[in-house]
Amino acid sequence: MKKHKFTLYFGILLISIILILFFISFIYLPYPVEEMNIKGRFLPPSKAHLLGTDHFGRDIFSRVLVSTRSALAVSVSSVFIGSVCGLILGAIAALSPVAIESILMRFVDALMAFPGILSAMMLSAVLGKGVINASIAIAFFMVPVFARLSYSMILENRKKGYVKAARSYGASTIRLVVFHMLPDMITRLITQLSTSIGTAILTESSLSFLGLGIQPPGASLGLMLSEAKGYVLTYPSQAIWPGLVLAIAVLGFCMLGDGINSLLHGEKSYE
Amino acid sequence: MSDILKLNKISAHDDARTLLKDVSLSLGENETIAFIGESGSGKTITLKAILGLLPDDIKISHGSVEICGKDIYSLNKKEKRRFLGSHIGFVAQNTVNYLHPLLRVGVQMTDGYITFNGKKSKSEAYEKAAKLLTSVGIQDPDRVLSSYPSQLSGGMRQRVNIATALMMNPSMLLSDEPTTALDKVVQKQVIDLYLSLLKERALSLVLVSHDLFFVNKIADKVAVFYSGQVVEIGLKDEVLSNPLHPYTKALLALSPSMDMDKRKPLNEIKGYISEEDRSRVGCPFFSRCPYSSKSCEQEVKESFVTPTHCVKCTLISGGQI
Amino acid sequence: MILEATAITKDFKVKQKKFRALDRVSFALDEKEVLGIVGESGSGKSTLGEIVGGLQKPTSGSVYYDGKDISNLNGDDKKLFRRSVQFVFQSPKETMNPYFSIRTILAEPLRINYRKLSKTEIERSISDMLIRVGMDPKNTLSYRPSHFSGGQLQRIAIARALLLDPRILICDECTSSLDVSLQAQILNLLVSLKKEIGVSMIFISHDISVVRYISDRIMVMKDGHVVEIGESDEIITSPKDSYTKTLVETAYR
Repeated sequence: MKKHKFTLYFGILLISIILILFFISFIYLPYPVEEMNIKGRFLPPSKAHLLGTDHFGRDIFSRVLVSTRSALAVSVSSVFIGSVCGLILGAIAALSPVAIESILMRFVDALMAFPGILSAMMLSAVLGKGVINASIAIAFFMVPVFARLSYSMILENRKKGYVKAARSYGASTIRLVVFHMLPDMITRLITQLSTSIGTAILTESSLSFLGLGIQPPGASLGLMLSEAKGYVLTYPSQAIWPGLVLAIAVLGFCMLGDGINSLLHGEKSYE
Repeated sequence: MSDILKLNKISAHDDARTLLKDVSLSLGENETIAFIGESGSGKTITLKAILGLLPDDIKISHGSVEICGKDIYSLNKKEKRRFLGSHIGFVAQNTVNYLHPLLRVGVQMTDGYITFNGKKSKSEAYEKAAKLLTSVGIQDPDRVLSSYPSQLSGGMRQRVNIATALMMNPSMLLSDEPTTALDKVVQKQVIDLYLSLLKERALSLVLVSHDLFFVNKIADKVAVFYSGQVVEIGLKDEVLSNPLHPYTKALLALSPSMDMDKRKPLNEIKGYISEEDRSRVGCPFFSRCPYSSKSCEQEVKESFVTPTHCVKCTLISGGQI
Repeated sequence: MILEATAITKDFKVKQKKFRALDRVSFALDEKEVLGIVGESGSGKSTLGEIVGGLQKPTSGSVYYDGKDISNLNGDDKKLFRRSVQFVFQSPKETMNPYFSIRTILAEPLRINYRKLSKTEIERSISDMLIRVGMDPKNTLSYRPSHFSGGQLQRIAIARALLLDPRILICDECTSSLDVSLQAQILNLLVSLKKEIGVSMIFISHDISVVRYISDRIMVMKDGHVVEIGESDEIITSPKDSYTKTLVETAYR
């Protein structure tokens, strides 16, 4: 019992750190992210530069703030698009005749067989580099996850007594899904959404790290890590700060998902 | 005759409710006691308290459980496990869920025996399992031992469960609704099996059942549970032929039979067991009882009508009967 | 004759093997009649109930409601049939969405079938119906199903079934999950409601003593076949089939 709550609260704590960074980025940005200062390279933390400066003399704090903002924006929007498409696809599959159902679900299985990052890379390579394309790529690899989820939830719910009862007094299929099944599905959906946002942040960073996401001189956690990789030994703090924020964000969303899940489904019963 | 099981004023609570209140009973060697009552009355919780298998959030607030003279809640976890494992056999209600679907029956039956007697006893354990299966009326024990639970019928699984419970030669068997989930014809076989087991072995039996016919055939003593309390307890004939508590009377009159008159409405107990009844100081049956009076709102004392027959009702303690 | 089933057969596929759950079952139900279907688990009685009520499709055979084949119904006729045949299932807890209040649960059939009803009209009819099944609307409507005991929920389930003013009520093991005291309450309720509104009933149960009490005629089923069908007193006092005999004997014991 207590363990579940710890996961939940710690997840919330981590996410609130990320959210604070996110809001600060709108209110107060010490330096423009792209402002270079050749004389002030690799400066240690000071009042002027809270986290020091990088190899171009750019303010690391400002870059971390903007990176957090873009990481959240990309992941949330891509998860939103991906989940809506996926949920609808899965629902159609679950409610269709067997032939259509198996075609759709085999298609989803095929999508799932690719590692997410690989399919995202392929798509970015086809569509070209850039934030929008990276978002589309991430959304694309979220589709099978949510399709499976809604598919299995509807199949499972269909066996429930209250769904049978609703059919017996004449509820239509759409009403069954939207009104009778949704309350049961919503908790698992929230769990999956939260975990997916964590994964999406990681994917976005990976894509940027590989040069397929946000392009220099823009700021992104992956990009910052990528730029810092030449100086890890001599000037580690350039890699540590974006790495730390990335870890907090991913861990936070995954723990939140986990915490919600065990809070809602981990209740014990007896008798 | 020494008591093999003695419950001394057991009360149990979870976070919100009182689940058992002052449950006392005793069981001698080779005796059978039956717990009757409706769902939520505390029969199964009492059984679990005897087994030390209560869920974590149910706490026993006072009272003691003595098995063969030993207070099991004073033992530490390891001692308790060993002691209960060798003294008690348990047959669960749901035969489907209490057998692991992916392990062969033989593995499950012998597991406890091998744990207690070491790896070397494996062939001995299988021999014993086969013998027990034969004694519970299975014709081809070797085939059953090597099959998976899903390959057996409900009646067969129930037999396997009973045989498994007997593996450690327990002195006492606990059985939770052994006939409930079975078809009528299979029920009859299971009842016959229990009767012959009790005849052949030195075995005490604690039986939870709402099948009054079964109880009547097998039990020496009967305890009637209502809302977490034992409202009436005594020898079978005392309780079933001369019920004194209004609830027992109603319960006995209610069970469906072929004699129900189609032209008349059935007897019924009005109302429901409510949560307030559980926490009531007085009689828990108060709100549904046709004879309830002011005095029922105070704590009701146990009154012994005969040395073995005990009733918790103001009608008895007040001397109106 | 309000409902007629002719040669209903139902096959299921279990692990690639065909399994015949129902084999050419035929029967008829008269207006205001109670037909009891008794059989052990696996006899196909519940499947038969769901086919007759239109929740499952038979592999072959047809069901006629008022002389019309229910598989050919469309539009308004189909809605009318759906409304006229209502179910009370075995476990009331499972048939109610745990996330909804009793108000939502009871209003839902009305909202679906009578779109024009106003909120107050719905509220009035569900309150009336709750009173009829012996529940107090004030202490019922705003709570969720988990607040109630099995017997209370079964009353609510009966209210839900009767709200649509059905001509046939199919009770599938509707007292089996209840304690004896509540079983008697529910049986009494069903009998009095039947007298009051004159609904026909198909009463499915494994307990022959309960079926005998409530039914005018009894149909005995075994392994998907009809073993025997006839007036209930006749079946009980002089069973012709050996299986019916064992059923009756085990019930008398």
